[in-house]
Amino acid sequence: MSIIESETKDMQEIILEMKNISKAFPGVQALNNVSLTLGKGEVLALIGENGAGKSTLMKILSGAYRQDSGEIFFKGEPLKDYSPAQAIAKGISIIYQELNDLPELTIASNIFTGNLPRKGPFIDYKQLKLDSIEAQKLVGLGDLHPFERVGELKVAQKQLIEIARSFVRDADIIVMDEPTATLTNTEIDVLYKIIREFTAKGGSVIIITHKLEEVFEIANRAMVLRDGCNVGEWAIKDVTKDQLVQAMVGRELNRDNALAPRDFGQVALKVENLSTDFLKDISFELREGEVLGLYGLVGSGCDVLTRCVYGAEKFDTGTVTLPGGCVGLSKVTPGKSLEAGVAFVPSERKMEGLLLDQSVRINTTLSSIKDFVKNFVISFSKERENAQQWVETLATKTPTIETEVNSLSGGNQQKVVFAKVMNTNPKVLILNEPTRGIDVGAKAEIYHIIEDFCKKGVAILLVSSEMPETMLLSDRIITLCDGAVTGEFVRGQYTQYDILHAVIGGDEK
Amino acid sequence: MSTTNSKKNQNLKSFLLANTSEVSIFILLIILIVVGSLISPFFLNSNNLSGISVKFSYYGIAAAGCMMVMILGGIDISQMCVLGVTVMLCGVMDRAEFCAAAMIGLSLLFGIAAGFINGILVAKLKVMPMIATIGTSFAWRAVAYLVSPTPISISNDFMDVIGYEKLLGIPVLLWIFFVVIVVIGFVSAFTPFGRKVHVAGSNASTSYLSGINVVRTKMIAYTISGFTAALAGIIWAAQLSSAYPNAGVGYDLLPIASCVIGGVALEGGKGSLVGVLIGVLVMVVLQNIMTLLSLGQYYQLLCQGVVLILSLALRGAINKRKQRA
Repeated sequence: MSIIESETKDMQEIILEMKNISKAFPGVQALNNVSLTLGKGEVLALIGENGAGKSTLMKILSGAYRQDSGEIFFKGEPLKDYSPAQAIAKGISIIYQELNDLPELTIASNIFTGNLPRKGPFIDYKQLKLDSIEAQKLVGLGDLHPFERVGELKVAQKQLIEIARSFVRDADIIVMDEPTATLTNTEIDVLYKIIREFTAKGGSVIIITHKLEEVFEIANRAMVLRDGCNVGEWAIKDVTKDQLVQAMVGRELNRDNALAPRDFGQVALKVENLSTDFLKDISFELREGEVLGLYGLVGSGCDVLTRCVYGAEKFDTGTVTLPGGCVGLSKVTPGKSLEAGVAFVPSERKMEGLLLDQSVRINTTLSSIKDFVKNFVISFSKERENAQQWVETLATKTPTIETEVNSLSGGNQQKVVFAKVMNTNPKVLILNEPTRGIDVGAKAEIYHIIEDFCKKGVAILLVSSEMPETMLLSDRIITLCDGAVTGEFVRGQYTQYDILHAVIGGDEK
Repeated sequence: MSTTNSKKNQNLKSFLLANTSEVSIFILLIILIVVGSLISPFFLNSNNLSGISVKFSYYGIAAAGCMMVMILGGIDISQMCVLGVTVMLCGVMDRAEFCAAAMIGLSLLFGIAAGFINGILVAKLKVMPMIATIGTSFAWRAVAYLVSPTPISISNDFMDVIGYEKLLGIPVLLWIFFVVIVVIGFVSAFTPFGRKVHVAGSNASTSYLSGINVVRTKMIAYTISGFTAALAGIIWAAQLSSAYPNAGVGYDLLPIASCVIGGVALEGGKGSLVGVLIGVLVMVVLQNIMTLLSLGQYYQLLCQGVVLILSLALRGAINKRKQRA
């Protein structure tokens, strides 16, 4: 390893060096003597499970946190006690997973926020428009009007706008935290192209990601963190995917644990001719113990469909028959669905799945609080016992059950969501992006949880934008494109190509 | 020995950390009381203390209702105007020689209706809570003046019992206050409804998707707020033996300010009745000290504003340190 390091140092000019960084939070040593070097024109993939310390390290780089010990050198000069604004001014730009866009403002204002061109005391809108178009061209968005509202854009476009902002600020280093988590394949290709152009011009990129395919696609070097420590660093050409995974989790992983063939029970959920102004006449059945995957590109309607089934959104015509019997139009609410035995894991874990500022305990019993009531009063001892049990069953890493879920890592937060829905004893479980933003190790654990559900005869409706995941878990896949069903595939009787063909609308076979 | 001591210290430390807003506001209260007793020999006088307890009881009752709404992430600015109308209703009904039961019953019914209207506006019609309750507060203040622009005196035996009598050595109005506080504190901390208020205030869409009937929870909370405002109005009328239409004017934000000082998060989801009550006490004691110093109402408002801002700034600083630590 040391040979490689010295090699890279010889080959490249070092732009950033973080030396022996340590940082502790109450109860956790988040970073322990972590070092990182970044060469000019290099793409460094920073990988590791959730909670490994990647984000903390980047927050220290951005100036949002201060390290307990260790030094940072940027362009050979030591950086000390700086604020995020100073970091940006020096040329360190960070694009967070939760984008920092200002949705109510225009594209141009977003790109040039903080350094709008001026004419006297006023903003020079003419110049702004011209500048903005130039900046947009750099990220392939030249055909959007600079004064369009950013809130109207797609996630991928918002991300590109943020990259454009970094370009305008003459960033030397751009850190991207899971930039592709919500992007489609074409959008990812655009992003890669922009990254390559940027590094060709001498810019450096640190990319944090959970997708290992991506590491091999775009990075020159990969650095793995585990439990706040450096565990390894490789030039991409010298490493295999399995080596990286092993370094990340520190143990062998049985990855292709496809669900064993099972016999399905009775029909648990029946959707007939469901339509909204977007969804077109959708019908399907789901049996006990079965996993039905809905697959489509972003905006294909999978997410909306599950929300309609759950009653979180209204639909115009059609019927949804829940385990408890037929529930008609517009009368379905999440509360009634839950009573009928349908539970829902939303894709936006933080916004819709959890109460971030409340404890693990309160989140765990959120949907089932009535089961803990004795004589009109909540039995706290029963509630605590239940929360503690789920923490143990699901091996949730949390200091105590009274910890705010805010401070847990993504995978552990998702386990809390699972505990919440499991507490309602669902017969049908709707899972939206159950492993989004979750590291490999926790993913495998979530798969096990899903498997356990199936064994118990729970019917599962799964939406995942990761095709391998959908293929791995689903007994049957229904593809959607533009709000309409375009195909249905039974496990073992399709190829990846068939599905891809169906999700882009296919040509009628 | 030393280990038990350090354990005790740790327990104390974690208690202080978990309840920083309550603890810091309690310290402020102690300081105010010390200052009060140093400044004026009358401060600890029993008459003065009972004056404080009267104000404490009606502002405390109103603030308890307000707390429910604020934990939900809402706000109820109309409380003092609902109080104004209730006071006038008591006056008018007394003049018309209604019996005390009808007078109190109808007044409370009015409070429930006023709260329910706020609930409909906010929960069903999705009007922003601040706008909705500013709107209803204008309307109710107008109604109070329309009922009678001039004061009406109240002479009703039962109202006098509420206003002046003592039971087991403690004023009746304090008893009423205790009952309300215990019930609301209990509902808020130990019942499923209280839990729903907290979770819906923490994140309404998560709560809705988790099966909580957020609309109904909001309606009930606003109704409780209206009810407590009316109850405070009845006590107000009983205590002053007269009804005047500008009752509560200038104090519209006092329950809200007390809640904020007492640690209720403006974003919702957090808050305890203990904190709120200490918050009310701080406001009332502060008012009292100002009065003892014979400073005018303007200075009182000025001082209340300063205390409100200081306590929020203090909490902000503490939270920031907690996050950084």
